[in-house]
Amino acid sequence: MRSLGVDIGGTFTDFLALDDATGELTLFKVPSTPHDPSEAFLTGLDLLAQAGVPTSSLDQCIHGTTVATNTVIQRNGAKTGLITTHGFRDVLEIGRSNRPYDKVYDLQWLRPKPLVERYLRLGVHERADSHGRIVEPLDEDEFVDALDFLVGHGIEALAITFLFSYLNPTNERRALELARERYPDLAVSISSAILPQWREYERTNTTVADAYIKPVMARYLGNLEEGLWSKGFQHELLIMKSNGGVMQSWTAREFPIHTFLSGPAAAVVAAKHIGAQAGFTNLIEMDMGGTSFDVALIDGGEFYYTTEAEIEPTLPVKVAMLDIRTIGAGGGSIAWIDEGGALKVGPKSAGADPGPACYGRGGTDATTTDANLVLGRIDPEYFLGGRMRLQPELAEQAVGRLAQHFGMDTHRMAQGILDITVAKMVQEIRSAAAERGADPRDYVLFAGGGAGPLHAAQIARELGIRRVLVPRAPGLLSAIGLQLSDLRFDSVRTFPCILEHAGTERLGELLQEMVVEGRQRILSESFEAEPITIVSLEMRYERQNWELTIPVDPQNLTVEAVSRAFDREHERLYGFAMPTEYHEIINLRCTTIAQLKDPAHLLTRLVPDFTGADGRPTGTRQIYDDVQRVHVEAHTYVRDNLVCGQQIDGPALITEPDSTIYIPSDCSARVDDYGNILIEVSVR
Amino acid sequence: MTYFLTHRKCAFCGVMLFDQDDPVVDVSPNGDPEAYYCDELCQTAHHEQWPLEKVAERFTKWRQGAPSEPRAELDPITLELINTGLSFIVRQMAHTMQRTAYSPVFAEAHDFTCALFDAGLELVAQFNGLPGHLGSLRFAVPWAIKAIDPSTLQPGDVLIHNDPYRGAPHLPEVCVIRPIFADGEIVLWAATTAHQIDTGGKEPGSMPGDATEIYQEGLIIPPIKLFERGQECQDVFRLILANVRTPRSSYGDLLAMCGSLLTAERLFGELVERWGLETVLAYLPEIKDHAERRMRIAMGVLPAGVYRGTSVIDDDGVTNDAYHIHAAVAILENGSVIVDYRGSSPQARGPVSAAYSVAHAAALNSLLQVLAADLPVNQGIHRPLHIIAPPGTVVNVNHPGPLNSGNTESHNFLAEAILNALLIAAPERGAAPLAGTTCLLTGGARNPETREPYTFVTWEVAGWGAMAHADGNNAMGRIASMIVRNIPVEVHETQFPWRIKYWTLRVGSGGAGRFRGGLGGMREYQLLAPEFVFGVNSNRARFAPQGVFGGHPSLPTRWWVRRNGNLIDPLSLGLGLISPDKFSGVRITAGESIVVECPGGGGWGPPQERERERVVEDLKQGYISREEAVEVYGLEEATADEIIARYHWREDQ
Repeated sequence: MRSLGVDIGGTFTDFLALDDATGELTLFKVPSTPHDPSEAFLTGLDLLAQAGVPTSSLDQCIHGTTVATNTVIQRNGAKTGLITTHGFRDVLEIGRSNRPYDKVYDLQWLRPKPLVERYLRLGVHERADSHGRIVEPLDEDEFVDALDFLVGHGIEALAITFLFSYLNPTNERRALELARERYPDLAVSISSAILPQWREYERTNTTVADAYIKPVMARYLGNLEEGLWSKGFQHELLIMKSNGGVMQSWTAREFPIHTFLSGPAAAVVAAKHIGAQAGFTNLIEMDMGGTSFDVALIDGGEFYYTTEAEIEPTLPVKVAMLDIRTIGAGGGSIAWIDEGGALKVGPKSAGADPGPACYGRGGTDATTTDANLVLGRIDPEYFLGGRMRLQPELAEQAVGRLAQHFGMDTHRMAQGILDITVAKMVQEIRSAAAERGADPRDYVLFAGGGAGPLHAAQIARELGIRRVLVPRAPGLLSAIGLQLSDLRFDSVRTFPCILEHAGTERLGELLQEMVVEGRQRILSESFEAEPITIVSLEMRYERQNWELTIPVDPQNLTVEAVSRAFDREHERLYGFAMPTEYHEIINLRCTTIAQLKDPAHLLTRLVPDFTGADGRPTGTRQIYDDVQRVHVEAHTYVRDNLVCGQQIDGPALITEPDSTIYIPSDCSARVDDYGNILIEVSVR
Repeated sequence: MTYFLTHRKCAFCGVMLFDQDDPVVDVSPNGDPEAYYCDELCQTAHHEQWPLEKVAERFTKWRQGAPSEPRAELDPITLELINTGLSFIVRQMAHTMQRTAYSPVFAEAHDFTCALFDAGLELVAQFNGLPGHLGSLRFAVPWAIKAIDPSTLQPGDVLIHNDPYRGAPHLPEVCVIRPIFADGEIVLWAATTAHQIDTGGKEPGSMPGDATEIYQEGLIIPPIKLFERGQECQDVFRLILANVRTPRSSYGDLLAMCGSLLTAERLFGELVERWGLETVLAYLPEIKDHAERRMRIAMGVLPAGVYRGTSVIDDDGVTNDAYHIHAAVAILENGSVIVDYRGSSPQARGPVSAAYSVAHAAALNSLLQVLAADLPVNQGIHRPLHIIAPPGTVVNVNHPGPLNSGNTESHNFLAEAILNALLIAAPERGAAPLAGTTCLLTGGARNPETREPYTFVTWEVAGWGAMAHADGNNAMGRIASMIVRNIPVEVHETQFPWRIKYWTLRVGSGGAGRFRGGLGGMREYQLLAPEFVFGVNSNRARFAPQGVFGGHPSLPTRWWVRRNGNLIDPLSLGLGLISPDKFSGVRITAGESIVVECPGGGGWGPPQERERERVVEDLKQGYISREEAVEVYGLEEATADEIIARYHWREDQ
């Protein structure tokens, strides 16, 4: 079997092809083409064919795309109409009427425009109540009239959201039927299918976003598949979801919302599998690139999910996504002096152009990359595998200017810039852990991204983490993760009730329906593996406002079992429980997963064969050590030359084409059986 | 031990005075023998009625603090690391609160804030919460501590208080404070304040629009211990919970608040472990000075001078009198600013007067709105700001005057007067008045389905003012509380047998102008339960938000009861109500509705100058009515009809 993963990022489009039979692995990058992302995709296919892997020989192609996210940000989606319950067409514009936290003190802040213009938002007569009873059936004539009006105005996509459709979708489904009968080519999204969850604004905005990108996604995938098929590819494309799973391209056309913010998800999937192979299932995955720092927790080999994402401030998309937190801290983060005379780092980034001062492209601001160069932790001759020669004297000048301002030594300033950057990343990790009731010391830090392995040891030391895992090709994790993803379907239903009053009978029935639906979904994507199902309840003490997710066994669903499980989790997270309170259920969740293929196929191919390597250092460099805060002599290594089981004591630098690994003087590293580098950090 | 609290204020600037402040007692023949002053300067200024210009010139104590250099002996890297460490603590405090709180006002509406104070009772870090909290917590904490003997406090103690005459903005804003000890000394104070769903008083939700004394507004909690050495003071809990309508969720909320203080203590311990206590404490002054420097530099965008603005509160819910706010704003060369509220109306009989901390909060909020400079939040940004808020006026209520809507409503009107003044100083940074009313609707009933008591508190959405270059935002919150979210229809109807009939933008509610004010919302709550008694607390029924530079005002607030299909003005229900937008005790029965129509924002510039395409677009989208397009903006009737025929599906939307 030959498979290909293609991950389109802002700067590069990454390719990873794997031939199961021969074990051959092909990894490369092509510059992205933001005006039409499929261009870089097809260019890469040609390169791959030249390298001996013709498109026609591929059995599987998995794709990570940012089309959905970019379409909304750039507001170039389809002309979309919205039909709501009569009297509620402005829910989309009223929203939650709040400002984002960072725009509270700005009288002139302008809120983002809704994705549907007001004249294309119509209300029709129908109504369900809070018990899910239909108190007014859909006025079909009125609905059809509204439909005709919208189509007459040239809409390409339609969203339908009726109040309480999460409890009773009858009216929405009937509306969908009518729309399909009358305009078979119109893209239609109904809220009970996209997000059967309460809070009408969040549900409406999510449904509207789905409709808004649907025609764009259909065109994009259509072009792509046409290109693939014309080159002889004979299968369906698989698409990365933001929940860390994949779906068939026809599902992506039907529910493009699930590709929102899916960019960093594949890297987390890669971390899970690479970590598990190395024997670690509790991981803090970090990914530090040029402009941003992502962090995600993996606990017992499981991901965490969130539904709190926003595509723009105040525009929520509430589908389940991997819980990945992002801050503006990367290799390009700029160190600067604020108006009050204080030293700050980021969140502004020099980006790729002009980039850090040491790129010599006209940038004069000191960045974290410049700081690392000043400290000797990057080899200027071997940046990006030697494709770019850095200019240390420009970095010295940029950092030196700041140092001079504060009357301090340039090296101390450079280390200070990194200390501040590290502090921000450490805080983000601590917040992420605290919110899950986790202690970072129980985790292994998984250092991904081109800039991650330079800082991982210091981050770990600050957090009290003893081990850092640096995978092979830390800058290509997303392309790797694509090939490791499972088929995955998440569903949610809002069913507010008091557990002690309602009992578990109806609850069990609803969960069973969700389990069946999930299995059908996955089986419709026609894979052999037997799906597994995970069921959980989002619940709280009555009148609390924040729900905890409690996994339950649908076979053993008793009031007693569910309430005790909740009490234990509340106690674990917040330090107290109130078992005599009523337990309130809000949402039911069901996840169905089927393995696409055994991750071992790829993972074993990632292991280097170590032949020809002798483990010797390439030389020594003077570097400024972050523990002793003085210059020390460090051995330098090339990663491909390391041998299995080799021990490397800090201070040392290990370079590879897309990253540099810094091992401070109080750490030692070992190459494990899989070619990962495991850094042991001495913790105070 | 005295059981009776006194509330002494400077008769000139209105600030609260404690014995340790060494106030000057006025015994001069011209003066009021009861009067206290901060010092001789305040006394003289009061007696001689100095105009603001003279105050600005003579008050050297308020002229101090020029842009200074950072302390050279401190390490800029350590400074930034400790500063981010403190921000992390308040953020985690907020997180604990949000995840464990009961009332939706915390978790849905984010109506709380968390902060740290140093041993000198100066603010060193605060979670960026509500603007109202930003300005008030810096008084609520130090004034509570000054009222007790801190030497009696032990590790594990928690103080609680909500006394608006001692820094709290109104009674529902309950504050908990925990001293953090090191080596037997208090080195830091952690504090959290949050809007409680109910603190007792004559109306559910503790916001009676027709209160005439603070005693009707709820339980007053002076600074007392809620926890002693880590143990709940059960008598105090019992007393508080016996006086509120929602004891279960109030208990949960109080524990959530105290939980955030524990988070602070733990994380501060870690910070001290990392840096050493001495180092952390040594950097606190620079952290505050840095913020002061940033604030003063940011103030540089406002030209020095004295600017004046006004605003008006409809009435006080008890009488028909309007209340006027006068704000004179002096911007000094060194980035100091004095907001002088003298000339504002006397204290109201009803609950619209503001507590002192609200007068300060509104001034700070207004400045930050106009500066839009993303400043750090600690004592430093407060230092350049000084206010003159004469006691016994609508901007500084005296005990036992009622004041609940002085925070929720009047903060917006104080801010409006200041923003109107700043509009003269820097029009390009300003906006026309925004709706500025919460349109608070409160009530109570027994839920017929669960037979449990139901306390209803909700608020509406309204328009923001137009700017020199853009139309105002539609359907937003108020300037005092703009991170607060509205409560969804599906949540309302799940909690109580309501049927919300519509919730839409109110067409034509934005003030006309070259740039148009944003639109308010309108909503109808139909009752399905047997009966419901409600009250409202709002403004703008008598005085709508005005336009500026030739812009038009918005539509006013309207409350109705729908009975047998007819909209009835509550004033004509025969209940003896006085105010059209502040009343309580109105009863409706099954099938009847409460209808609210909210104001928009004021317009900017003459409507005749509005670009034609914008008028056409507004009519196409239905943001303005045909009548407005034709009569106010001068669009040809034929064009208007054409647009409506083409783009308006049905009129009844």
